[in-house]
Amino acid sequence: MTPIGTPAKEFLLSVEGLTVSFDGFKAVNDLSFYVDENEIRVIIGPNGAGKTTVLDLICGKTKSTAGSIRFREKELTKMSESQIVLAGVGRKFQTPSIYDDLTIFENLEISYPKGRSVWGALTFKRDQAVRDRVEEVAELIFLKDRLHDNAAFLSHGQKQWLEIGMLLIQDPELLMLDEPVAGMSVSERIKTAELLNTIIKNRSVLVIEHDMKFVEDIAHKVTVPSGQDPLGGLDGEGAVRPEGHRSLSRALRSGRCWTSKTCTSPTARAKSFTG
Amino acid sequence: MKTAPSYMDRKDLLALAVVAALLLVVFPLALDGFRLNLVGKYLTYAFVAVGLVMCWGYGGILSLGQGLFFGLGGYGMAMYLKLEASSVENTKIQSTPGIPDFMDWNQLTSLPWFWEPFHYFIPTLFLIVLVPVAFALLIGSAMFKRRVSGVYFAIITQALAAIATILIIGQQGYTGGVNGITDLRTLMGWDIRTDSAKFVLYFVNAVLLIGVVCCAMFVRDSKLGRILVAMREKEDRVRFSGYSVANFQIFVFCLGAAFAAIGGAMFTLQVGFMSPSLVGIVPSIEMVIFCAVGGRLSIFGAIYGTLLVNYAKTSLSESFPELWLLGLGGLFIAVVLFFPNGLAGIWRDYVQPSIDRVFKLRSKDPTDPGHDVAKAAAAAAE
Amino acid sequence: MFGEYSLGDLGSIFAMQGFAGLILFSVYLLMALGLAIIFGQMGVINMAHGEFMILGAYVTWLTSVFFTEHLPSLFPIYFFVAMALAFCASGALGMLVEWALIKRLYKRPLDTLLATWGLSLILQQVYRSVFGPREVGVTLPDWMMGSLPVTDVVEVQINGLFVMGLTLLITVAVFFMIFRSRFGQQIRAVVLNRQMAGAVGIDTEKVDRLTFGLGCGIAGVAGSAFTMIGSTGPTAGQLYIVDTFLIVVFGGAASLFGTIASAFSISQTQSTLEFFLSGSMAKVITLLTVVGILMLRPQGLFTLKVRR
Repeated sequence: MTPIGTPAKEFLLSVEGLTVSFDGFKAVNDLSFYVDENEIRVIIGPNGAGKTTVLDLICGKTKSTAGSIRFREKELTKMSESQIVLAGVGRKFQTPSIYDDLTIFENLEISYPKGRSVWGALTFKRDQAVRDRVEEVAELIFLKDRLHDNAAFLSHGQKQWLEIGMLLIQDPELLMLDEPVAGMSVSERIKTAELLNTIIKNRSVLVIEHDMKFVEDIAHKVTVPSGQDPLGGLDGEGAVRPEGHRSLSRALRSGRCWTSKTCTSPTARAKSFTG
Repeated sequence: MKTAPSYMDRKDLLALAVVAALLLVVFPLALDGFRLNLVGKYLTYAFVAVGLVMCWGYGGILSLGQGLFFGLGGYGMAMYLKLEASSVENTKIQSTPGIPDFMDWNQLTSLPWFWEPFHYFIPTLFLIVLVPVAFALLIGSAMFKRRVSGVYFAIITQALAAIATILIIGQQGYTGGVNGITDLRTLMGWDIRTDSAKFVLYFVNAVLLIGVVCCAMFVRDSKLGRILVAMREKEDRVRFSGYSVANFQIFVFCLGAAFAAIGGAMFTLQVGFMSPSLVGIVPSIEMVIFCAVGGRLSIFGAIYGTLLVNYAKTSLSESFPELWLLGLGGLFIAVVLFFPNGLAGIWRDYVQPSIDRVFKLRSKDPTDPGHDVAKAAAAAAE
Repeated sequence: MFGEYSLGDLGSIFAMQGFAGLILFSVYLLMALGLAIIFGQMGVINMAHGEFMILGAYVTWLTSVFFTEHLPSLFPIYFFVAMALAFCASGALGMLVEWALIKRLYKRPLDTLLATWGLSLILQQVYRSVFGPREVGVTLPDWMMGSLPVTDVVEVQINGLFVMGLTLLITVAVFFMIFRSRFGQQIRAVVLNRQMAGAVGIDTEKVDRLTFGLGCGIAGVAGSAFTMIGSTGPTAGQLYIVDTFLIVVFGGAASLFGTIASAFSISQTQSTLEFFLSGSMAKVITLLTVVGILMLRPQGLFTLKVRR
């Protein structure tokens, strides 16, 4: 089953030698890391370090130049975005990405994992199972009272929750969250941590986050994919596994990110980063 | 939770009833034969406009080449009628009897292969819809799979409409050239030029249009309709929720093409000819303005917009031909700048509230889950 | 299809058609340059581009009439005056349109398309009312008439050469303006990041207006050059708008170099095919090829792979 060269242990997600370049600029260079089942991995690093690009690569939004991404024995780099979703990878975008013109019920319903083909969507019936599931999720994301309001009327934080809810209803095995608490108030942040702690059961989560306090709140185990030695090629795999806030901040302060081999000057990268 | 959502709520039914009454009762009673036939002609454009509401309003895909599909449907019907009119006895003065007159004038001595299926009525009916849909499928697959949309799609579909016109005009012997296919007489022996036939055809057309409207409403109210709205807003979110966005775009583009083709066929039947002047850039973009005037999110608005613009066109170009282009140009600009939701928007914002006040109608049950903004906008256009 | 021609004949045919293609290339390029600036750089769809061109043509015609009646002695050089006037007239109208219409629609490209189509209808009607529905042709000064023999079968028209020279000049000027001048730098800055450009002190509204005006002004010059080859009618602009847009899109919208390459390949294909097929079939095949290639490669011929 396991191909030669991959570790003997079965990981949920194995990223190996992942590289992507845009006109010669290597946004991600020879990156390798592994995510276990039920693991929560937090990715930290300065702006422009290519964190979001890695999520883009995993979910198929960007095509890699080299390397492999294996998820449950499937090679994601060769699959289309919708196939990757069907394989069990869900992704939340950095800015809340919801449908303003639809109600919260309909927003959630669209992510319900049924009727995803053209024909399926035409003949989709809103039966009791769908309604129950939508309400259940709406309750989780604190939006049960507003099911039939248009999503446009939600606050920024509520929109973030709605998108998390949309992922939840999709029930992915690997959940990727891109800065889920950016722009949230303190109370919203606490609720979000609570929410994430509920939903991360029985799935693996990959989080990009800057807010150290929040990272501490959600994590029972944190992996900081920051190479201790930038030249040692430790990118991700074999990285330090600090257990608390202090070491997290230290890793962040050191300015070394997981792609540190190519990331000698964070400012230079930030300058060339446009997306 | 409540009972199952009613996919066609009260307002939609009311709007449908109003349209049906207008088309099937009011117009036939109020208008003379000539005017009724004219309205029938306008209504064939409404097929295209309804298709554009689905494509452009809901799907966010602006096609400037709907004339191509209208033309394909219309030419399909015209080819059948022309072959029926070109029987051997009717054309015995030609050097090659039994082929359409324009082919004979262009020294063709036998019927081209692609005309052959149009000898038979049932295959013709299928081809009228299938050929445009096949074209739409081809164009749509090529472009949407490569993520072409928006402006590029509009320009390329416009180019296709232009190419079709040049081709039709250039290939006179096969298509009838710039005059189109004219002198159509009978449909399976039934003379379509008589007043009674035109009266009957008007009703056939109106019933078909209502059918198309119901079909569009079904699509709009299905989950597919909501996915279209979602796609228009956050294409990536839909894609990363496990949908193949391209397939949905292709579907709605094909749907629009099928609607346009039915309209084209009905145009040929009612007006009695088909020509490249209904295929090219100008008619294609005019059909977009019919849709925009009605309100790009309103299926019923598309019908009213088409009727209104065409009525204005006919009355203005009869009395002040110079003013018409100025008026049409101004209409384009005004709709875009000041009334982006067209008639439907005006109805919703100004007329509906006052009606509601008068009748104290509860506009909708706020707990009914089967609602969205788009639907309200559409229903408002009755 | 080559069977009935000898090798020497074919050589001459290709030379003649090549030259005809070069003239077509020059006109296409002139039309497309203005559009490449407006569409490629600003992202605005201007369906009235053809009408701006026709305005330039009418201005040229008016100038020729004026010189014939009032300054016959200066007639040989009237064309230069006419081109300058055409640039100014179309440019000024362009800036007016930008101010009144386009600037309200920067975030709605498809609506811009519809609104400018409306504008084109209005302009067409205005031309028809002012200049009459019939086509007008300008009289060229004597020195522009005639042709230069190259071999005994191949000869080149002087007005064609003039159009080519003019195109070369304007293309170089546009390149210089966009890639070397301060104004070009500002245009590109606004295109790349409007907010940031505004924050560093660029008057973005003014840059938009001038850019749009520049694109329209070049269209006016194109129209002026066009009068040397064909006559001008109120609806002549609409005939070229599709070709022009296809050229810009085919070249890769943001690439001025791509515009040149695509104008060249499209015009050469069309003029060579025209010799062997009817004019309409040549056009159909050329356009279908372009559309076909665009379906397979929607980003056009020349684009950068950018991080998205």
